[in-house]
Amino acid sequence: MADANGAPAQAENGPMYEMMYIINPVLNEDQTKDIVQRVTQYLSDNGAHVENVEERGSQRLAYPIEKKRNGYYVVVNFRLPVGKNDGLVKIERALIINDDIMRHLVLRYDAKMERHYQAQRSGQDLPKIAPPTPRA
Amino acid sequence: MAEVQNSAGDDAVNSNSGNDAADGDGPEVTKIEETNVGAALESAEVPTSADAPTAVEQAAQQMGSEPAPRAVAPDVARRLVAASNPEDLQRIAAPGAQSTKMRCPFKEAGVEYIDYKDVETLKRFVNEQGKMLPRRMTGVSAKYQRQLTTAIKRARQVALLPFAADNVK
Repeated sequence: MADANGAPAQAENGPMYEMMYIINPVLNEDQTKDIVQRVTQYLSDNGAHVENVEERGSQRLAYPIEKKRNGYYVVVNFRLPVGKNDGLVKIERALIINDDIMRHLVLRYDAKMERHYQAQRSGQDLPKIAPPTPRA
Repeated sequence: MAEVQNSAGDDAVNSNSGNDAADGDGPEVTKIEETNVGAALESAEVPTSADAPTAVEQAAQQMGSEPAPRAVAPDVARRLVAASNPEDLQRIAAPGAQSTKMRCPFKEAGVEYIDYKDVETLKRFVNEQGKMLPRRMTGVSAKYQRQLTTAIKRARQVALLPFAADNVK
């Protein structure tokens, strides 16, 4: 919005987003891979610059979703130019419509989260809170 | 013990500033204050036999020089004036009132951002039912409790944490 008349916004300079989604665990490996690829492709088609795709694999859900006890977790980090938020709307809509994606969560990073992400990417040791102390 | 002394010092400073403001307002107010201080001095059995105005001046000087409220009797007297009720002071100075201090685990570790994906950490601030624990039990500072709340709620949305665990089984 702000730089509508300026130079074409570079995807690499936009704010960082994180998107987690859960794929139906019933699908076989090829189908899962296909979905991950399609989502990533759809992101870049809508102006996003995908930086990292992390497949966390099949995990047990804390509560059943659609009568399933497991889910295949994927986390995508991407940057989106400031004026391209309509692309994000389209992406989220596609995720909701897709029946094989059970749940998704999109966050835009603020400075703290971005620092946290960069530290994590570069393999730094993140501060861990001390083990619990017994209460009296 | 140290904590109690500190709090007493803070209050003494506060009451002092309040008195100063009153001094500026008008002569009548200051007179009342002075007589009160005199009465308080007597009740607190302060060794100095000086009259009230000089005691106040002493207190003001000692405020600037050394911030040790326990040693300075006029300060205690001023505090009594501010509290206008000796029982208050006794309650504040009572031994064993909140002697152990909780410390925020996130602040201690230097955490900047609480990640909703870090389930192992989040689980520690949730009871067996999946309910969030109050700050008074975990010692988390308000700043981090706000972050923690967001993180736990996000984790629940993506089924990393339960909304409510069925502990019937």
